[in-house]
Amino acid sequence: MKKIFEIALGILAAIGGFVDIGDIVFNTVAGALFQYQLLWAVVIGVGAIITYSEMCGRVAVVSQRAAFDAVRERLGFGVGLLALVAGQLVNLLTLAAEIGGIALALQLLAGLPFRVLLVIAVLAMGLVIWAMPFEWIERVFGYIGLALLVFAVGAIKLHPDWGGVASGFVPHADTSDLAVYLFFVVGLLGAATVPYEVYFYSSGAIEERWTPKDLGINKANAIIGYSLGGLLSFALMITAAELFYPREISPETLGSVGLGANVPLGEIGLLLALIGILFAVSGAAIDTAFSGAYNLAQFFGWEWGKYRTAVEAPRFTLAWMVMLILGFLIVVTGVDPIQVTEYSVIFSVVALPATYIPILLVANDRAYMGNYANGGVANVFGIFYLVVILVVAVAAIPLMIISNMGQG
Amino acid sequence: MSGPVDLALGILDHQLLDSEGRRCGNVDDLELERVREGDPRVEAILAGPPVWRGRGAIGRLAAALARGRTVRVPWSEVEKVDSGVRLKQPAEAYGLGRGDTRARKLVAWIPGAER
Amino acid sequence: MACGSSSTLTAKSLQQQSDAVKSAAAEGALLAQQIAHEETTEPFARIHAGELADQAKAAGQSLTMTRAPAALQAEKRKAVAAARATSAALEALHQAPDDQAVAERVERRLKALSQ
Repeated sequence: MKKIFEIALGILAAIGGFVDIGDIVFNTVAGALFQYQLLWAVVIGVGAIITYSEMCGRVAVVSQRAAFDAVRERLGFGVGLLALVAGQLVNLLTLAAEIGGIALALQLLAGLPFRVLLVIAVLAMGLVIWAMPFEWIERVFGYIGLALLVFAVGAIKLHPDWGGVASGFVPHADTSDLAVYLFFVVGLLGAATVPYEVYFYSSGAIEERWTPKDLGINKANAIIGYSLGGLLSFALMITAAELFYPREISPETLGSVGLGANVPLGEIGLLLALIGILFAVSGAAIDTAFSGAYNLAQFFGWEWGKYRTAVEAPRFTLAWMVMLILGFLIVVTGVDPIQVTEYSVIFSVVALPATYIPILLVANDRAYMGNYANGGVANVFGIFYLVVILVVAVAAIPLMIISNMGQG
Repeated sequence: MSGPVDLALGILDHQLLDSEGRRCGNVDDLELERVREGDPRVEAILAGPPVWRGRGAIGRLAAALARGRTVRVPWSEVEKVDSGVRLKQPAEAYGLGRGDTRARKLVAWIPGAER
Repeated sequence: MACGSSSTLTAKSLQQQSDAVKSAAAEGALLAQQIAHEETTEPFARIHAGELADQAKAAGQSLTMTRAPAALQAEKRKAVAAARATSAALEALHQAPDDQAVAERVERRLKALSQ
C-alpha cells in the first residue's frame, strides 16, 4: 500500500514538473499557427524523454553513476569536455529563459516592474535550493505545478473539434509554409527532451538514494508521469488551436498563454494557470541550475549533491549559485525571455545527441549494468529515438535560418 | 605492487572515492611500467589538471587554463574497484580534494552551511 | 517582434507587419471582452494590454522606418494607420484595466481593426 502511495506521489510530481517555459511557448505557438497538426510531434517528444529518463534512472541506480559520469567515461576527456562546455552553455541559456519566465509569471500576477521581479525570482530560487531538502523541492514545485491541469479543463470547455484533434496525431502538414512547420516539429521535440531533464533525473535518483528495489518506481514515474505530463502539452496546444488559430492570433507573450485559461474559465482559471506556470517554471529553473552544477562536478570528480551539506560539497554549491547569477545577468540585460526560450530549445536540440548517445552506450554495458542492462524493448525504443534525435539535431539550425526562427 | 592493465584501462575517467566514501576526483591518467617489455603494469593513478596534458589536444588546452597539482596515488592504495575506485585512506592523505578544501572556506561563511 | 528589416519594404514584410497588427488587435479584443465582463484581474489586464500595445507599436514603427516602393505606398499608409489606431486602443485598455465601459468600446474598435 505504501508503495502504491509512493508511486502515486512520484507520478504527481513528474506530471507537475514536466512542463517548462519551452513547452509552454512552443505548444502554444504551434497550436495557434497549425491548429492540431503538430500533436504527433509532442507524442514523439514524450516517447523520447520517457525512454531515456527510464534508462538514465536505471543506470544511476545500478551503477551509482549519474548521466554525466557516463559522458566522460564513454567519450573520454577531450570529447567529454567539449560536451560539458556545450551542455553548460545550453543549460545557461535555458536557465536564463526559465528565470525570465518566473519573472513574467510574477508580473502577470502582481503587476510589479519586471527587473524587480527578476531579482526576487533569483533570490527566491537561491533560498529554496539552499534551505529546502531535495525531495521537498521536487514535491512542492511538482504538486503546485499540477495547477496547470486547468488548461486541460479549459481546452475541453472550448469544445474542440475532436475529429481534428484525433487527426493531429497522424503526421501530416496542411500548410503553405513547410519550413515553419518543420521548425516547430524541431521545437516541440526539443522542448520535450531538453538535456537538463535527463541529467537531473539521473542525479536525482542518487540524491534520493534509490536502490534496485526502486527500479519499478523509476519505470512508473517515467512512463505514467511523463505521459500524463504530455497531456498538459496537448492541453496547451489545443487551447491555442481553439482560441488563437481561428482568429489568426500569433501569441508572443506569456500573457497570451494566460489568456488561454482566462477566456474559458474566468478569473479562477487565470489565477490557477499563472500559479501553475510560476511553480512549474520555478521547478524547471531549479532543476536546470542543479543540472549545471551536477555536470560540472561529475566531469571533474568533485563531491556533489543536495544530500551532502554545503560544506561537504562546496564547489558543487558554488556552481549552482554561479549558474543562477549568470542566468540572471543574461535576462537582466533586457532581452525578451520568450526569444531566449526559443533559442535555448533549438540549441538544446543540437546538443542532444552528445547527451543521449553515451546514455544508450552505458545502458547496454553489461560490465556496468549486469542483469539490468538494456533488453530488446529498451534498445528498440532507444535506437529509434536516437535516430529521430540525430535527424532533428542536424536539421535544427538550417530550419531555424530558413524559417526565420519560425516567423516565416 | 602494480595491477593488470586491462582492469586499469577500464577505470580511466572513473570516480575516485576515499576511505569514507567521499568523491575526490577522477582517474585522469595512469602511470604504466614495463610497456616496452611487452608486459605493461599499472604503477599508479594520476589526477589533477597537469595530468590532462596527456589526454589529447583539448586536454592540453584545459591543463593550460586550470590551476592545480598532480596527485599520484600508487596502485597499492586501491582498496577495491566497483562503481568507483575506492582508496584505502582519506582524501587528505593523498592530497586529493584540495579544490573542495579551498572552496569550503568560502561556502562556510554562509549561514546554515553545515546543515 | 520586428523582423530583420532591409531598407525597402517588400509585399511579404508589409503583409507580415500588417498581420502582426491584426493579431494584436484580435487578441486585445479577447482581453477587452474579459475586462468588460469583469472576468479577469487588474494586474493581468494592465500588463497584457501593455504588451499588446507594444506589439502593435513595434509593427507600426518597423513600417514607418522602411521606404516603400510606389506600388506599396497606399498599402503601407493604411497599415501604419491601422497600427496607430490599434496601439491607441490597446493603450487605452492599459491605462484603464478595470474600466468596463472603456473595455466595451475598445473591444468593438479592436474587433473592427482585426478584420
